[in-house]
Amino acid sequence: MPVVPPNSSYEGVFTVVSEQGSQFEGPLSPSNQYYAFLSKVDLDDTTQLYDVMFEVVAQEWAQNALFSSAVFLSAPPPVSPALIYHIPGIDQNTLVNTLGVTSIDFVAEGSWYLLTFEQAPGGNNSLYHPDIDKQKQS
Amino acid sequence: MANDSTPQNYGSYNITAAQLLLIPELAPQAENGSSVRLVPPTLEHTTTLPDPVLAGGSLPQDLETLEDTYYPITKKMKVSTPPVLPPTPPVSAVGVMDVGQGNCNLLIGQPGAGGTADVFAYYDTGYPLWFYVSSLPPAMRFGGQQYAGPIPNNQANTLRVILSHWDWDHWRLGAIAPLNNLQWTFPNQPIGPAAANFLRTLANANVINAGGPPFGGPGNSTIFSCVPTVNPVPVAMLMNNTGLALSVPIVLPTAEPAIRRVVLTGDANFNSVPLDFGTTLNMTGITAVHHGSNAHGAAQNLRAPAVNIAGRIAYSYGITTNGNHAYGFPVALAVTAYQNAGWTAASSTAQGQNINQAGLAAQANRGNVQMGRNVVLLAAYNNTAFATFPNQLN
Repeated sequence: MPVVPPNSSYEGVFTVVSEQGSQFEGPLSPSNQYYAFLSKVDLDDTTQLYDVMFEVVAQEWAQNALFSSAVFLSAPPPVSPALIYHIPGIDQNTLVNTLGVTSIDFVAEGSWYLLTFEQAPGGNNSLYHPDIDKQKQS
Repeated sequence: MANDSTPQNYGSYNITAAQLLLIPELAPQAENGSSVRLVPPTLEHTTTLPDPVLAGGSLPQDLETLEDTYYPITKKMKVSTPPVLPPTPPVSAVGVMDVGQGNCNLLIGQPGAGGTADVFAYYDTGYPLWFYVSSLPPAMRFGGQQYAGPIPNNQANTLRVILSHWDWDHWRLGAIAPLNNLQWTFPNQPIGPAAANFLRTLANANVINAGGPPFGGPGNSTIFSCVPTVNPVPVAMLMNNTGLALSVPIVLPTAEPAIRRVVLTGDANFNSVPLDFGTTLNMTGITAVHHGSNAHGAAQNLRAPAVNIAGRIAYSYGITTNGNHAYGFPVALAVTAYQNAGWTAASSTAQGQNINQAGLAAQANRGNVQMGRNVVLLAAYNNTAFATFPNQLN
């Protein structure tokens, strides 16, 4: 049986839930903390560097819109102010140590992390809006 | 610091602290195969356990919410039974479309009275990560002056999408084009918040668990639910190997009358696809696993092509404007492994037959690859990026 698209009452619940996080609807976290889904990990054999991509949401938004809901529904999540965090090249040891895992074997797509960031002007690791790829190209 | 929702680059950041909260594992289901679930890490995985987990307590509500929410189908919802599809004509060719670093395959029907053919299914609708959009051909680079885009629907408005797995460079074109009005069939895997935002826009979807029984797909194809066969299963290979693969009946080589099989696995290893005997014996065309990766056994346990036939293999990968192969794909050792296994007639979206050759000249033959009959698509698609196939594997 096909999945039935959400009905109006279902959407209504999530509208209410989402509004709980409206004061935190900006994508950037005031505390620089993000819930981060490890979406892609690829080893470049030619450089022996890993390319890593997370889909992240601000900790404050998650706390208010996702975790603090008075109504817990086992249902797909509300629309979120998601961002992408991309590390285009990192060596294995640095990656393992940075993520606090015991082995590269546990750097697994599908994992969730709580990450704390700091700005690093001029660095290579970018935090950007996912729809940046829908912008007009030069 | 800007803090609005306008799509933009917010600059460079480094990670100063990280805590692993949940890690995937393969969980058998009482019915309908297996599923990838998220579980708290142990000290085997991480050096810093979340406090409540360290104390041996129950999962905190925050993690329970993450664990149960970010799926196409949550634990308390039922996955779909496979959709029953309307009859479709046999496939005359499989297109391996040039989407830069990504994967997008297209099932093409038989030519009609006018000698041209319609299309009826995508297998994956990939688009590169933003960092690699320069690997796109101009006709596929959204927002560019030459953007033409994919075929948005077929003439009967029945074009559908079968998604191999929830990997950005396999689904993102669905959000870009967009293709969210089509019917989608996809695996039940953990997804991130950006993918979840897209998922909520799909009008018509079927969700399939890992490791369930095969079922019928468009064009008399067979859809296989993948599941890793190695034990124990390395967690790092779970997402790529718990999706959907496709076996397509097709006349290939076209010089022979026999109907053979083209097998599309996305990023799944061949030993994760529970292929039926008929497919295993009759494979004459494949796409390279995971764009030609050599990681997590991607180029191992390869099936051989049907006896006495040079196997046809298409690679889908991207080269950026600075000449770098995104992720180093295809890996030279993987290319050799395919050749040694009998997949010797090769072409690619990024370089045609000049796979891994250096220099701009090697990219002169980039473009869509057609496996099967050399068929011309309906004129209605002439203004799309998917209208022509410079590379043929017949």
